[in-house]
Amino acid sequence: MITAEFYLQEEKLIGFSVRGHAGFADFGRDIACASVTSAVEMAANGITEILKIPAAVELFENEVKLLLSQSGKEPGESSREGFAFIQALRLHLELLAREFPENIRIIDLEV
Amino acid sequence: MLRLSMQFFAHKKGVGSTKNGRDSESKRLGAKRADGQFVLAGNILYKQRGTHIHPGENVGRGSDDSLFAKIDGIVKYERMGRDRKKVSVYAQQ
Repeated sequence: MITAEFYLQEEKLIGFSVRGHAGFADFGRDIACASVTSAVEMAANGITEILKIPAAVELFENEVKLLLSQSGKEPGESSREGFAFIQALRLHLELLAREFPENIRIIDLEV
Repeated sequence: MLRLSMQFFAHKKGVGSTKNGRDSESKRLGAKRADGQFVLAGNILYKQRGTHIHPGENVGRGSDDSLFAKIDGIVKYERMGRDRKKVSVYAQQ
């Protein structure tokens, strides 16, 4: 089961952690895994490489973690774009979770 | 830049389990005395399942099909018919 945790702060999505094994099929044929991996990769690169939003990206064994760098003051334009990008990822994974309910689950965490 | 294998969240290759990997304790079957060897009555000559080798002169067959000498003497492995074998024990001259 892949677990996607989304970190909420004052109703804004400031980060996520996606970890686990989809367990949908054997290695090389696991489309649930591939769809999640692809979405996570795009979200992370979209935020850090395209929008150039400062964020901490960490990679572990079967886990990817991203946290927007919070400057403390009122979130600027780029932060709002970051929130939106993470929200898009959440929506995408939510749709995938409906298609693969045994393999993907989403959890929202207030931080 | 984040670069992931598209099977990043999949069970790694070769993680599958096998249903094999079991075997029974080896029973050390086969010949226990060689042709021409002197044996005592009661010595086990051949351990087997079924009659791979048949009992010949002065040789008995145990409940587990093992062949044993009935007298002291010399072991002789002989042919029996076209494609069978037997083991006998002959008294020493």
